[in-house]
Amino acid sequence: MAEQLLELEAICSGYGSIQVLFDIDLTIAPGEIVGLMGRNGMGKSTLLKTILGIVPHQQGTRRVMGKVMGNLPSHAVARAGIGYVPEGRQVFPTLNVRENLVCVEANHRGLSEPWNLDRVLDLFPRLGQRMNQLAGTLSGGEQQMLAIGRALMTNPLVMLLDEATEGLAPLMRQEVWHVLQHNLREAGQAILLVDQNPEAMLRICDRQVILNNGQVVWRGPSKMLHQEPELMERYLGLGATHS
Amino acid sequence: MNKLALASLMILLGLAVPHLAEAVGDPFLTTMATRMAIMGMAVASLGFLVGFAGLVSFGHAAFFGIGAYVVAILFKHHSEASPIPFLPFAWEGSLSGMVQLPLAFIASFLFALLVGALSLRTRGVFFIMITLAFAQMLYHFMISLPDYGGEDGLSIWERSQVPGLDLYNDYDFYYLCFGLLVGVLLLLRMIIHSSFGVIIRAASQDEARLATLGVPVFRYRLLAFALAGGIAGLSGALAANLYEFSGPGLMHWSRSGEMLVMLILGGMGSLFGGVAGAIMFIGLEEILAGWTEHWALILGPILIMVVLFAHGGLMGFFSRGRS
Repeated sequence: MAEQLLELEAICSGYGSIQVLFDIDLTIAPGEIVGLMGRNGMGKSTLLKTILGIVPHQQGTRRVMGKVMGNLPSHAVARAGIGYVPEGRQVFPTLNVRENLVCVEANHRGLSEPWNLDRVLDLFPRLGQRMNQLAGTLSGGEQQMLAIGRALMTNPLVMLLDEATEGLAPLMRQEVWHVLQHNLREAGQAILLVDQNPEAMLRICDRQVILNNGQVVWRGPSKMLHQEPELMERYLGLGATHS
Repeated sequence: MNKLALASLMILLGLAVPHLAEAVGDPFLTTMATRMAIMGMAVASLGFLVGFAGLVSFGHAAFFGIGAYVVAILFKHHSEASPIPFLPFAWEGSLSGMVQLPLAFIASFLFALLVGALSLRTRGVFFIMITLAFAQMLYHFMISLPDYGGEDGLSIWERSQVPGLDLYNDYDFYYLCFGLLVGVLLLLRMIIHSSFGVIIRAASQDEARLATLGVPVFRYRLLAFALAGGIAGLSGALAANLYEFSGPGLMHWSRSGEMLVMLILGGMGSLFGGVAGAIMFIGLEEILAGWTEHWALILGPILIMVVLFAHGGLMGFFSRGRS
């Protein structure tokens, strides 16, 4: 396995003439869980979309497993090993649960325990009870489970999670984090995480990257961020109670 | 009544058509049903594209026409014992249906691959316009070929020879078309419920979302487009046998429009919608044409009423009735 699963070098991207990200450098190693923090509108979701190629990058280099992605379309980047759970669920509403789970390009990547339909249903038994139900008629939490399960079915090397547990009940949220943390980490896979819950991020992630106005303003281990209340206040708007 | 029972009933009814026509003393009804089966097949393939893949093609008649021309050109060279000039090898055509029908499918499939490779890079109204433009290009190309009849088209003096069947016998010809229609519907149904079909349907909802799951959407869509083109070509080959003629008029944009009208009448969300639309359109055409030569003036308002009041066409109307 390559030393780094994902490498970004001096990535600049944005929408048309509006630049959102400036010279972003980021590396993610096997088994790592990295948190992407910042206030709303600072470019977190744009960075995830740029990694996948949904938003084309204007400058810089993306590498997955050491392979330069260039201007490859998002399906090629996904096949190279990037999984994505987008903000706002985004299931296919008129396909049923089973169809939503199988409409992925299957790739086991030589994993000893690849994710498949049975494993996803073990993680989310509630989906198993609704296999023939149209995804658009599921509750918000169930749709979220479906979106996570679908991304797991691609057996990603790096999973990009954009507020993936929003809408899940607290117990289910804990369960999802537990499974993702242990299963992916043990298999040498990695996670890049954006979440509204900073406590959860500090607890789950090994290290954090803070974005402010499209630039990386701080990076380091989660433990170190705990000791920087001033940073937390300035870039995340969090008071001393969170430190 | 569940779907299986309804499909079985439709098949039994389809099998009984020639006997019913004989019973009422009007053998022409068998020929009309043959036309319905042929157009039903072409419109079902269009329905697969529009209703399931979300691709509104306005050039489907081009593939239908290619299928018809394959039969006519193979017949012409066979009857004249002249080699087909645009082939890299010497071949004087064939009358065998086992050669003509598969070749019609393959030729239309390949042309659809070419059209799809260029047009599927566009979306929405641009896709509609490009498919229309390709069909019109082919229409004008065939007009410009005097060796193949130009504007007048080619007459076919001998129908395809199919082992065990005599296509000059109305029964045999009808059962061939009906059998192929049932086969095509079963094939399309199988495809729609396969993983390929799931991807095609997902792509019609959100292409970008599907791409993030590693799916090369373009390739799947291209294959779906070519498959629909191939099926339209097969039905065109049967139509050439029925009319004993092939001409550029079969490829005209108005024929593509007619197929879309049939699909809207029958319903786009169901595989059988295309067939139901073809039956309704051809049936109404026959009935109304018996009353007045301005039958289209009556058909137009009927179409508007179906669009306004029976969302999902005939099939949508019936499924609402059942539920």
